[in-house]
Amino acid sequence: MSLFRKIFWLLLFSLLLVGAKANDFYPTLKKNYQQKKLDSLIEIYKDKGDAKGLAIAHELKGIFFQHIYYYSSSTVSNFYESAKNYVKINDSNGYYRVKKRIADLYSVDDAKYRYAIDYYKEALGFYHLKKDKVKIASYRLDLLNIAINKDTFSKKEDRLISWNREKVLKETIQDCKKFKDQRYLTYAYSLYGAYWLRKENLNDALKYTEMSLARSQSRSYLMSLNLLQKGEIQKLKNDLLGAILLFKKSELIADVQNNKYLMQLICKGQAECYTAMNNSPKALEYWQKTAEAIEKYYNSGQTQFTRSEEISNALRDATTAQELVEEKKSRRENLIYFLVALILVAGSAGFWIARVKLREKDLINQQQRAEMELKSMKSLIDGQEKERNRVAKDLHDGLGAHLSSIKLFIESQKDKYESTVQGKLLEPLAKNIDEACLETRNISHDLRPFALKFGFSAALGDLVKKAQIALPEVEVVFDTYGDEPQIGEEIALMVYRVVQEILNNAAKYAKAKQISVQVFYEPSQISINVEDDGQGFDLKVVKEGNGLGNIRSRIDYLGGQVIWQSAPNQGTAVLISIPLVNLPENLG
Amino acid sequence: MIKVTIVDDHVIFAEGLESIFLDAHDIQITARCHNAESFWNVMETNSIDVVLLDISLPDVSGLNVCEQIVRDYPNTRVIALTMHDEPSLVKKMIKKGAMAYLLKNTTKSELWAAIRTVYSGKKYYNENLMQLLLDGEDKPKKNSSMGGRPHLTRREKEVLDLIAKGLTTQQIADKLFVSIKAVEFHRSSLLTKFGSQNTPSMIKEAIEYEFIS
Repeated sequence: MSLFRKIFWLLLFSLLLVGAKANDFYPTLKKNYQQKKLDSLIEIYKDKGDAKGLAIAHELKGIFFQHIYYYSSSTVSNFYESAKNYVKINDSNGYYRVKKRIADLYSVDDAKYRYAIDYYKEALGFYHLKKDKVKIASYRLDLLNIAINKDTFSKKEDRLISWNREKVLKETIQDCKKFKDQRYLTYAYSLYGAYWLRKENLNDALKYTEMSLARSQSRSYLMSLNLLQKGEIQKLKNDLLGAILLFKKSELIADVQNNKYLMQLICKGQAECYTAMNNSPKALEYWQKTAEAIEKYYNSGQTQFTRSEEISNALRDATTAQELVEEKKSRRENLIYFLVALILVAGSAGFWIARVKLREKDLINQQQRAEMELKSMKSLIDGQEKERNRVAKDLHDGLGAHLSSIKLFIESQKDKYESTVQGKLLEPLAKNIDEACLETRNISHDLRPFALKFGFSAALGDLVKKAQIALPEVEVVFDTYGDEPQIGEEIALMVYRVVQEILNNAAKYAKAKQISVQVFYEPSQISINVEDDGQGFDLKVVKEGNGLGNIRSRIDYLGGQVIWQSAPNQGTAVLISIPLVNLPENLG
Repeated sequence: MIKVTIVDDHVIFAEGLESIFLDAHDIQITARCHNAESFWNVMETNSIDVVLLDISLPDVSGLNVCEQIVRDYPNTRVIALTMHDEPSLVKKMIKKGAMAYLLKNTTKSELWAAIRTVYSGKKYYNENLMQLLLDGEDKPKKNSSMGGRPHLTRREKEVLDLIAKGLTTQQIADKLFVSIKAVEFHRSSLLTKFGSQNTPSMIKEAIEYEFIS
């Protein structure tokens, strides 16, 4: 009896143990984990081949990175990894939740919001099938958010444009009320406010923004967003002080949340207010902050890196899809095992045919993959250039013009205060603005070579001149040979970027006395030699760093060739030739 | 009284610019135009002495406007007033007939001085501009393979030397630890620079210019 009892208790105890273990086996999404802990979990799950564990751990790691860096390649790639694993365990809710996390980041990125639309739509379709009305409402709001905030929709690519935004919004608000879902209702009111703000109906904009604001206690993102939105409204109503107060509140929250996207909008809002108030020092401070924030958001190493991840993401999507198909195939294979055996027995001829077909399919797959790689390369470069162009234009025409207006204002007041204390303060201020102007121009040039309009040589000449001014101790020589042929703008821009990168590298690392840039024009080819007499490097050691890889991928894309010639203390020569025929065409 | 017109699509800037001349007794702002079209209307009905012209305009490029002013209104002087400081653009604008080129963060005294100088028929180049233009003159364009001793890089000299010694491309590549393609690249650059069709005539040229002895 007592033995049985002992065994019973032992059994119960061990059961409890196992139960307890099973419960904290997976980390929970509600808690914060340290990166180390997550990394070690991922290692364990990987060894075990535990897809569920991997899905959760990668999602948590993505959240962790989002909190630190916001929109970075680490954030996005972890979410992708998580999504892949959710697919493996057939957890649709998990899969769509993680895709939404990615889409939320993409939705405010000009180069990527199209992916966000795809992801949201994919989820919307799924929840339509499941008849999950609350989810439907939430994804509708996400899509509306893009529709309202991006007014640069091209009609061809998007059916979303055909939505009557106000009608869908109103319906969704009704739905949210019906389901008593406060969170999405708050979001919906905020969007309705944004909608009216776009339509310049300030009264309705204010009304709905405030309705949303009243509900957004304890929802930091919406709180910050609504405060920003209300600030914009007050600014348009000319209540500048009120607007600044709201922006400052919003700034506090966005800062804690580390939301870099909102941050740049908040800084810009304040800068505009101070400019309108003629408060030059403050305006200058905030324009600089805006420039910094824009730089951080668009131009940070992280975001740049995210861009170059584009191809791998596309490939990752493709791989996930392929794995899925294969998995399903293997399941089906079990069912038709008997049939396959029959076929085998019936004759090996059938089997061979099947194999040949499979191989053909593989070949087609490979081809499709290569094509996709080229396509994503093109869209990557296009997107990058488009965005650079936009930022450059914003900086040059927007920030630049404001800065020069501030300078003019100081110039016009200078005489009045000449011998006073204020007058003495104006002098360094004017100097600071001059420097800010110069910086703005330089950043803008780097982003968008204006002189390409006048031809490749003109643009390259400017580039060399800039390098010469920046490096007074180095002699920078620029020679062209032959007549410049017609070079398409896309090619010219890409080759320009390559030379820019090489010059940057030379300026940074070479310690040269002379850098020479030579261009040889032929009717069907351009050859470029950028050579310095600096310290050189060991080609075996610095094989393909990030910069070199960038150069190679652009040249590869143009069907050209690039050779690095360098050795320690022997200087460096980069030799490039680009054919002007047989370029990749019809990739659109 | 010097009659001045401002052509700039940035309204706040144009307004601020006008305010700078409020206490200038000899300068009068006749009009502010925010695009080329309205500017030509002003030119038709007024006689303008000096135009402060931005290059980025919404409808037509400032370069074209400048050219047209110089052609159709020879008594009107153009001052480029812009955010752009690309050397190639500055040169283009000067070539089109602009008498001065100022950046938008210029000073009041400079603006006044520039207007008075171009009004008197002289060009006004400030220090920065002089530097840009002078540097341009310094380096005559080596756009032809004819005439003058060509400028060779260190790598090109190395390759030329070995070619003259009669080494084959493969031998040169081995000797310099580079690929055949790199040697071929330099060989073709050398041919272009000496304006030669083949190696013997290139070597002859090279001896003439004393690259090899």
